[in-house]
Amino acid sequence: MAKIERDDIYVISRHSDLRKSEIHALLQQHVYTNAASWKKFLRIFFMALGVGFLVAGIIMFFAYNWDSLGKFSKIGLIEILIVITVSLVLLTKLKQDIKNICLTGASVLVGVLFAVFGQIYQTGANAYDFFLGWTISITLWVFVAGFGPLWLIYLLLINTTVVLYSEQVAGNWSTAFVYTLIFAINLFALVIFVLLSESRRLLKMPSWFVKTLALATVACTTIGITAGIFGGPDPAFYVLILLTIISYGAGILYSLKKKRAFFLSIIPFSLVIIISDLLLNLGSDASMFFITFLFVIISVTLIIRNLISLQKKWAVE
Amino acid sequence: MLKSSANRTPAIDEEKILSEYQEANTGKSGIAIKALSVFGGIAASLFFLAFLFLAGLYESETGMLIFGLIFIAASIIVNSRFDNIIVDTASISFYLIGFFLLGVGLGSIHVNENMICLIFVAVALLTLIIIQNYIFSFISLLIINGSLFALIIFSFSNNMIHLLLTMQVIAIVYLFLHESAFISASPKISKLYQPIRTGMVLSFLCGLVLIARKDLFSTGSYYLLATSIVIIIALLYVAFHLLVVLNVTKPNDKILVYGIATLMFIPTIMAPAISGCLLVILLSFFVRHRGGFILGIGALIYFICQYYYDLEYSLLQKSYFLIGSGILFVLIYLVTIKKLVTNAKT
Repeated sequence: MAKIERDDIYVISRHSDLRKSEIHALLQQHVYTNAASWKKFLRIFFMALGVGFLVAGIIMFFAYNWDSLGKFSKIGLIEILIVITVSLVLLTKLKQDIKNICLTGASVLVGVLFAVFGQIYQTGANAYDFFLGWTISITLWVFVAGFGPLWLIYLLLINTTVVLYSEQVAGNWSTAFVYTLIFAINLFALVIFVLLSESRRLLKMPSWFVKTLALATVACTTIGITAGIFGGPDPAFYVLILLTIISYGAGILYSLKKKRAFFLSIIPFSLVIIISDLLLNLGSDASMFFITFLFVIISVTLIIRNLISLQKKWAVE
Repeated sequence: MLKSSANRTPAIDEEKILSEYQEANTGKSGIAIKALSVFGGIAASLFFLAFLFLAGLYESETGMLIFGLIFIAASIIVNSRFDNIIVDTASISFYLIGFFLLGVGLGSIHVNENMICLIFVAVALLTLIIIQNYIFSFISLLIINGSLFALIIFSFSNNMIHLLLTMQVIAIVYLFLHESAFISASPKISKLYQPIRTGMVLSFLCGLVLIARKDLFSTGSYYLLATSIVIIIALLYVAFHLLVVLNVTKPNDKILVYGIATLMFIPTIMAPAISGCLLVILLSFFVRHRGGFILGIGALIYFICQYYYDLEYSLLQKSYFLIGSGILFVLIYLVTIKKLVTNAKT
């Protein structure tokens, strides 16, 4: 028997005379969270809130106090905290999720450490090497933990480092080149994670992580191509287009093969945005907007229609 | 997909169920598709609006009013007659454009802003009654809540927002925990349930943003406290339901749970935004509503980061609040860990 989902209960209730108590019982049995899930959730919930609030409080504490503390006490305190959190991970027998949260806290503390160092020695605000140092320091932890939120932080740091580097050091990099580079980096990470999720079950990342990464990657290139359309021509821009075509094609093929709708919705949507930009770049008078309006409506409708028919086809198989 | 009902033999119209499955309706429940049609609708309506204004509609006040009403009415009528995807996307965008034109039109004939908000609420309410399409109902609910917020802002009665938030809290708790009551009511209400539930959560979180950004929007501290207390009472009510799920029977354990539920929120008593988010997170997890869960977590992170910029307390005080809360949660974890693990093994 197939698993009963919430939508099934809705449909059934609309066409039968099930009473309120019966529907409630059905919902409780098949849809609502059960006791075991609640217990796991509450464990993670309390620990995550505890660590999260503590770290946030500590960050604010240092923001307030930095004038009165001496150099050594400031840096020393943070280093002690890092040692404590990492010891919690290595030496105790806490659950894996809790340990991952502690490690994430430690990684953020590393950033705090470098930030304080930067403030003391006036290395400059938002210096790219601050982010670079932070990224490199936590690399080992990120790889070892394989924890979704930590990987997201790590990728965010890599992106920030690259962007700041391009602003502060490599001033001769064109905007298109920066977008291409960012897109390439995120794409590389995405491909690795998608391939990993296929081959080795052990290193499987949660699907929300892959989806968020995919969304960010597609957003990178959409913004990059938009900027390129309205800006001037640039050799890097053509590389970006080529890369995008290849990756979008691969993405669509992959989704069709694996029967996952997510890529199939964001990639066409990105294409709609890009083509709209192209249209608007041709002219910005009233008729152009009307044409773009028609285009958006028709294309989104077609995309949704195809997605639905695909979903129905997959549901049957 | 045949289902077997678990208990006594209720009257089930199997044919109608099968036909509803075969309709396009069931495919629409994917969130990717919903998001696509909302974004597509908004993008398309922006373009159409630009077209209208470039073509000179902005000059004519009555023109805008008439077009606004026509668009709203037409989108509702067309959507209720025809039921396919093209109609959905186009009608959403015309619906939104209609409201925009209505607003600008009314504004240009110098109607009071408060009146405009009330008119919006009335029109959106009518839409909810007339048509039960997910996206339409969702957007209509957002328009109702948004207009109420705007009404509060325009009439400079900032403290009223706490009344609105309190009503939203009560509505959300009732909606989430009494799902079966709504579904077993008329088919209309059953179809309206999901979009209204999600819409209320989104509106509530946005409302919390208003009271968290004290630089943009100031309210009295007593009212803030009142809202906070309402949220804590709501959380206790959720705890009450949770006790049933977790099969907690011993009175000592019950007191422990209620004690934790209250104690958790003492440090954040003057920051109802944070406790509000936690309420949304817990409720969403209770009924397995993924959208609300994610929204709640995202909002929580936002509010904690935003707390940094709150000028009402010094950074030192804020850090003490957070560290205190953090330690409290870790303590709660340590106290409950035995119960949360050993019971799982049985």
